[in-house]
Amino acid sequence: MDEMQQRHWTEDSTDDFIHKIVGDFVRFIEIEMGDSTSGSDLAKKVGVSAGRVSQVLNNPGNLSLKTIVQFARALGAKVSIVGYRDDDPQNAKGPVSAEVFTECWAQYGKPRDYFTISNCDRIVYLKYTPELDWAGWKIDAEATTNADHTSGRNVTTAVTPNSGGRT
Amino acid sequence: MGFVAQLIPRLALSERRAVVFVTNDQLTQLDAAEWFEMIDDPEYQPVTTRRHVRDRFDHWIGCNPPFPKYYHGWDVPGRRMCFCFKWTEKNVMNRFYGFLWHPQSNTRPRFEVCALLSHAVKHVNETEQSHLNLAATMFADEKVRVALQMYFPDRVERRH
Repeated sequence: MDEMQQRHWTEDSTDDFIHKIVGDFVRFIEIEMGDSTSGSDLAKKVGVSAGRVSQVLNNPGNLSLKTIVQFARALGAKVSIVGYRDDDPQNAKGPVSAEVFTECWAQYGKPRDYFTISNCDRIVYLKYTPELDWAGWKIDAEATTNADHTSGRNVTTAVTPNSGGRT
Repeated sequence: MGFVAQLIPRLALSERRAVVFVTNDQLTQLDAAEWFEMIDDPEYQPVTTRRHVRDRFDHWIGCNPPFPKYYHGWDVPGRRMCFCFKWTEKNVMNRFYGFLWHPQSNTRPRFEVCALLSHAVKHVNETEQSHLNLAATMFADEKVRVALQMYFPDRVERRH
């Protein structure tokens, strides 16, 4: 397998990469719109035509950052731009999807700032179970519950990875 | 030449899922690979088609929350193994039809493959039953499974 074969398709061009990550945002918009909000409702809120909304949703690569923010705010949502390193400098695996970041943030208790993260007193114990989960990690519910009893504290967030039970 | 399984290169990598095409020179209905080769050409227009399709594959491979606008199965007896990926190009609905299977039931029971078989251009929002029939038939064909397990070999369980 040559070097090019080992690279994810988003490595072909910057436009490919942009399509992928903005596509994640478009999916978020479509889910937020659901069945209750039609494209025309969103168009009114943003102040563009329904055709423009459709065009944007069908061609994520043309979405500007300004439009992304306009669309998110029109739905009462917000946007972050996250840079990260994933030990994949050649981009063999592709970008991590926005859903993964959002889910991790939600599972962490949706902290609003760094203080909230460092001040948390809940420890969610993770158990390494390769057969059960693609990433090998799964919340150890029993250990987490026991920890809550012994600490007597209100629990919020924090993740302590380990390789076979509790640390 | 019989059935051949081809892993789609340069998609997201996952321990849990993969997307392959199944072809057979004798069966012209198995045209999904041919269609993909056409739209995956960098010269193909609109270029967004290639990106939409690859993005849908990646989304499924990543075990993200299901998104029926991109792909879905059928909760119907006899069709539960069927699966399709969807995209729209120039207001025309396109589909890749195939089936889901766990080729490594002994080695990696949770590893799942989507074997894509045929392509359809749709003008009405109804399922192409002939494509589902084909998927169900191929799913049950031992020769197709052998072709898939050439790519994803499984440990043979010994009986005592």
